[in-house]
Amino acid sequence: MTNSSNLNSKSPIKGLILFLLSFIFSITILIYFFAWDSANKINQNKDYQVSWLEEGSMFICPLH
Amino acid sequence: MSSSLSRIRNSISDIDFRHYGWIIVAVGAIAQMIGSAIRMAFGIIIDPLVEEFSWDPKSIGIAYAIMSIVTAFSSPIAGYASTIIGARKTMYIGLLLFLIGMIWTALASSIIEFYISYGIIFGFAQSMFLVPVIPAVAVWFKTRLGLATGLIIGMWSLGPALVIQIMGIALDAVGWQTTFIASGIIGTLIMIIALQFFRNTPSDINLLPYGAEEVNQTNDSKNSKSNTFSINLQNVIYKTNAFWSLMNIHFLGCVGHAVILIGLVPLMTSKGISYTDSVFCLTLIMIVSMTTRFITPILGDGINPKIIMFLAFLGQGLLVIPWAFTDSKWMFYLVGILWSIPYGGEGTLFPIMNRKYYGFFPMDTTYGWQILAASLGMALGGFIPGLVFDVTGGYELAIWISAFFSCFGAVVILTLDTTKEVLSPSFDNLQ
Repeated sequence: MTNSSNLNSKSPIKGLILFLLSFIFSITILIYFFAWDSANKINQNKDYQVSWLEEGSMFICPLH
Repeated sequence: MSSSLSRIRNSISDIDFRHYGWIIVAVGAIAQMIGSAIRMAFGIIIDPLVEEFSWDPKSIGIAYAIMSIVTAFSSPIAGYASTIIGARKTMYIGLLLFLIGMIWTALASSIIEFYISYGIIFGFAQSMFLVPVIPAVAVWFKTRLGLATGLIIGMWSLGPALVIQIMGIALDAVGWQTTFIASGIIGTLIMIIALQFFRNTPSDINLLPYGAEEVNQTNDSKNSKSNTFSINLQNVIYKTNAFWSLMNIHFLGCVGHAVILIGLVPLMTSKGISYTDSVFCLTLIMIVSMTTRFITPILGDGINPKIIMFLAFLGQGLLVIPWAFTDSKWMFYLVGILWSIPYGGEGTLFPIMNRKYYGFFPMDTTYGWQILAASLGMALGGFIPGLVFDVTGGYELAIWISAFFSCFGAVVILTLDTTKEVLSPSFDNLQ
């Protein structure tokens, strides 16, 4: 068994890395689909006014 | 495992239902019923609001999103408040906000007012009302925590189903505004009466937690009462992998099933199945999952919660995949029934896991953080089907995303420490 003083000296590296992975993956999905949607809208209508969110997602996403 | 099952079977006859802890369970179940109805009542007021104010459904939907986000971010605050001032006072604050929210929502005349009353006030009310319940019950049960939480978590399904039916009938009879005001007043009165019987800890009425022995009395009451102890313990918990992984797992699992709960009916209708038949599939899922919500904490408490949780996540992830390929209504129903078994069990084991890892401790703040992660997962999962449909014209890709999130949750569960050992068995130096 581990006692509390041992726990105080440890860092939750594994838990934090997995937590961060989930966060990054979630953000990636949102950016990818937002950028895809924005690209579709622009292709359909050249005069389409993109919002800051759509513009930002297209800027960040390397695939759109 | 068979010996564990027989142990559970044999011990059921030994339960002492005269212990005051079961009164706390009953109060917690009523609180869950009323609190979860806040969220579910939203669906029935959309049409009346469109009719009366000509607001578009998308703008009305923003209120729901605001409520979800406010609930998510106020959950750790609710948990902390429960640690410091006690679950009872925190629930009274939630009750006051619930009453204000119900009356203000009924009287709202502008969309901004609606965002404040339903989005912000209800958002806070929901977290103040729901977060303290499970940790409060946990303090009352040294053993049988699985049964106690199973009874309360079962109300997540049954409560809204009953309350929504009653509110739906009242709405037709007296209109949505009178229904909201009446529900607010009646719900508040019921909770005021119920909270008269609520006690934060067994030591408040000179009792021991269920299953505790006399020899532990001093230590138990000390653990329950000392705020310094709770805060110091929480600081130790933040430094464990289990804390971050359990938050992560709750988030991933909620994304996984929120995609399905929001996207299943549109997916079925897009494949030519009638709206009524599609809604029936969702109803089937709710009914079957109610049983596993109740049973899973009991199994997890008696066997090994890590294994049960892993199987639930894996099942939730893999069993959605047939929906991506089928067009048959009966196949949707069959998979729905099978999927609801792991889905019902997926989110119910967190109090048990907290107990296994950190022992008999006030889990309010820890649980609050887990609810934050779960609420964010529900928000993201609810958003994905619409986004996927906008770009692909279908929902199949959303099914694969749901499967991925749930299966990744199962992988994270495998990285958890064993639940056979308490991570921090001795906190005496934290006093």
